This record gives sequence, structure tokens and C-alpha cells, in this order.
Amino acid sequence: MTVEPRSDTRRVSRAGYGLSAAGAAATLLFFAPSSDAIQFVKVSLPVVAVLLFLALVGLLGARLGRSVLFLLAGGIGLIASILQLVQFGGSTNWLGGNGSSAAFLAGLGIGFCALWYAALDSHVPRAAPSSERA
Amino acid sequence: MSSATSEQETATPAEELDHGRGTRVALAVVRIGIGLLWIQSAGWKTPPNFGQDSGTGLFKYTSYAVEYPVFPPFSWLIENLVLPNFALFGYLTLLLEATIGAFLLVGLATRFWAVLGIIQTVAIALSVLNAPDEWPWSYYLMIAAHLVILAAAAGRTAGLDGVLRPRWRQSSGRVAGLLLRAS
Repeated sequence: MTVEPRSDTRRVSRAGYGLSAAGAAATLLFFAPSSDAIQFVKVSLPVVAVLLFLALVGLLGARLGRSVLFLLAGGIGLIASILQLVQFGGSTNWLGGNGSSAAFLAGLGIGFCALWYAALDSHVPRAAPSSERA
Repeated sequence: MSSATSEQETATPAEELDHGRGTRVALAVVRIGIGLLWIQSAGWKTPPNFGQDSGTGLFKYTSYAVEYPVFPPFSWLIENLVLPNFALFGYLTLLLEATIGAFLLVGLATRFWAVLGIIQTVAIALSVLNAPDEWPWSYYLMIAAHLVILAAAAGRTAGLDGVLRPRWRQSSGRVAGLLLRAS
């Protein structure tokens, strides 16, 4: 089965927008009352900063079609997740979150890394030089 | 002509399931909702002792398997294997639930993680089903929701499985084949 590169690229970009939107939307939980009914993810101020940065880099990756930006966003998400997982429950907690923050950041990180992989061969073919076109 | 043959000829074909936009949106909502359930539940499993020193948290709920047994062999396993090595068990539980949540949230290898979600739900149910103030239907509903995600391959709609499956299908590698099955 052959895959149409252009539709593949569109699918990757759309997923990039979706993950970026999810990261940005999760920052709203910072303002939510601390109740189990709403706080699905613990979002502290440092986690807000990480999520906004991830969302911005992911958005740029989707907009510009630069898969390396997905890799960057994914790498940041995974590093932040591991840091959160190692520190939470201890006396030092730079990100101020808990296991839910680590899991959510891991999800975004894994997602962006998967998009980088998906985008590797799905670039839109460049237009032929004008001499070839003629 | 036999009566069975004539029945076959007159039978109407089985109704197709609805594959419309509403179904796809609902499947994505179920998958993301269950992902968030596991993510939130990773939030109160606090290392390094997971409530063992204060008799709270994960330790308390795990101990219910011994105090209020549901399935005696499982209670024996908890009492003799899990509780004596509780820190290791706590980290494994935290990692497993955080990972299930992360992968279901983004819809990657969704069917595989739905199976693990069912197994973990059964393990939790075997610990707490007879405990006071528990609502057994919580766990039955969790299993049902995971079954829906598994059967419908819910990562293919608004999930990364839908993005990556065409690429995996093109690849002849063993890993790609496994991921195709897991998605």
C-alpha cells in the first residue's frame, strides 16, 4: 500500500497542533481549585512554563513543517517528566508537581517524539526546478 | 431446496456498526478520559514509601487485599510477596499507571495499553472489592471502558496510532508488525 506523502504530512501537522493545544489547555488547571473532581493533572507554575514552551515549540514544528522541532518538544517533555518522577515525594521538587504531572509530560513527550518519527519520510516533495518543469 | 438454504437466501444482512463522526468523537473522549484517570491516579502514589510508614495511600489500599480478601490466592500473594517488598511494588505501580495514562492519552499502541489497563484494573479490584465504602461497579465500568478502547482500536481516531499506522504498514520490520497489532 502506498501512502500519499501530502496527506501524511497534513496528518502529522494536525497531530502536532493537537498535542500543542493539549499542552496549552492543561495550563488552565493551574487556576482550577484543588479538587480531585477537576485537578486531573497537578500543574504548578514551573509545569505551566514547561507546558507553554512545549506547546510553542510543537506549534512551530507543525506550522513550519520542521520535524526537528517535534523532537525538541518531545525531548523537553521526556526530560521534564523524568525529573519530576525522580524528585516528587522527596525534599527537592523543582517542578512542584507529582506523579500526574510526570505522566502528562511523558505523554506529550512520547507524542511529539512519535510525530518526529512519523514526519521523517512524510515531507512534501519539493517543487522541481524551473528548467525541469519546462 | 432445504429450509436452511431458503432462510439464508431471505435473511437480511447484519446491520453495520455506526462509524460516523459522533462515534469517532465518543471513542476519542473515552480513550482520553481513561488516560486522564490513570494519570490522576499516578498523582497520589507518593514515593519513596507509598504510605507504608503512615498506613495510608497505596499501602492502605493494597493491604485491603489481606484485610478484606476477595480471592484468597491473590491475598496470599499480596501478604507474602508484595507487602514485604512494598517500595519496589510501589515504584512498579506508579510507573505502570503513569505509562498507561501517558500512552492512552496520546493514543499510541492503544490496544496494548488497554490490555494492561484491564489487567491493572483486575489487580486493583482484587485488592479493594470487599473493602468498606468501595463501589464495585467503578471497577466493572473501568474494565468495560478498556474493552471498548481495545475492541474499537480507539487510538486510530484522534490518536497517534492513526498517524503512524500507514508508516508501520509500509515497513517490513518486526517492530512495525508488532506495533500494527498493538494499535
